Amino acid sequence: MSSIELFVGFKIPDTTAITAFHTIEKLGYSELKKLKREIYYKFYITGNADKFSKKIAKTDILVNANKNNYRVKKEGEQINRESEDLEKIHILVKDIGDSGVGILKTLRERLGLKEINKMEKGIFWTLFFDCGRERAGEIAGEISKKLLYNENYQECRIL
Amino acid sequence: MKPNIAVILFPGTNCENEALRAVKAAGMDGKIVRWNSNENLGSYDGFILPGGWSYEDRIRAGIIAALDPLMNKIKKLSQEGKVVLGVCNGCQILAETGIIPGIEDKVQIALAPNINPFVSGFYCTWVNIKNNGKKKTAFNLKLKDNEVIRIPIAHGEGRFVIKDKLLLKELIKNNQIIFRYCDADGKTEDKFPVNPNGSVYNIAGICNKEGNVLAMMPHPERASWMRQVPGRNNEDEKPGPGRKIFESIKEYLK
Repeated sequence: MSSIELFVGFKIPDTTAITAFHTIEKLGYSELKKLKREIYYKFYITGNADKFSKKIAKTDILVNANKNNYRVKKEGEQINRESEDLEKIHILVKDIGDSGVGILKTLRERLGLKEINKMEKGIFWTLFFDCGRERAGEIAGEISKKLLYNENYQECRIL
Repeated sequence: MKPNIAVILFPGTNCENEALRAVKAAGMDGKIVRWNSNENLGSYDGFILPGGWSYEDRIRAGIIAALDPLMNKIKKLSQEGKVVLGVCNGCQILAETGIIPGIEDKVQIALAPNINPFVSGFYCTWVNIKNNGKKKTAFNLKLKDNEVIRIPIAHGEGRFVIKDKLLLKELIKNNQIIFRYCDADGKTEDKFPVNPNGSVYNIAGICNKEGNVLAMMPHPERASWMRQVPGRNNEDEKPGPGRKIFESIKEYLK
């Protein structure tokens, strides 16, 4: 069984990301210069990962071509950390126990993607800081706790 | 003089008018106060954080409003003894500020997405809740111990979650869980549809230790007249079951 990760971003202005940015600014973290939000899916599949990535991105359920863009990360590929002059930190937030049952059922039963064995779902934040990596990591930890997740039902990983 | 209640309006709040009508029907005065006004909140006797989708539920329900400077003022005033009722989105805001349960000065609970065997996401229905008795607070003075009231819910993220099991025990010990989902006879079976969203311990409402702040997911303002209650619509202007919560506030502020 292999896995692939799908990151669904926004072509249109992402109001949630804009609100998050302004809220973080108001919390006093002026080091944050940019912020991006993507919907995150991880699929555990049997079969060919390349073929599956093409198929999954074409399902209108996950990617609406009018407002979303997407990227796929195959197993073993590294997260891209390059970012002009800014320090880039990724944060993945997932609801504990949310295995995307509803979406999984639709993908398998209605769209025939039987090769999916299980899936995970979450929000993938990319934060761009104008400070050193250590300080950026510290701020990312504080922001996560204050704003991006509630530890009572969510889990958060700083990547 | 009648108690004076500020009904707080954040961008996206949508139950402010019903909340104000319920306040007035219970014999109190009130006013809708916008989140960005410069009003002196200290001049009010209490506050209602009504339902809706403050800030469009961006990131998660209630969190952006919880971080608004206005909530610091309300937190301070609640510590001075002012009454605060958070309904639905207001309940989520109070949870995200940590004002509820207020044992420690941090966020200790969450309102997570519902767990419902039939409906994913938003769920709207009438349920029964009971006054869990034992503790007299600003919100149940007019309710008998274990009295069951019929009341509507309308939410997608209303499942009370408490990660720390010891905290749940402490809240039970302190009698802070004042409203629990139950059947028409008051039995609190932890099963749908009695527990409509999978809340731990069938929690429908939690108050602070002092009993002057309550966070509840059901909407008492939508059950303020009998005509609002399904099957009882012909009883017109008689007070509905939710009215007692507002009348309790009035009694407490006397």
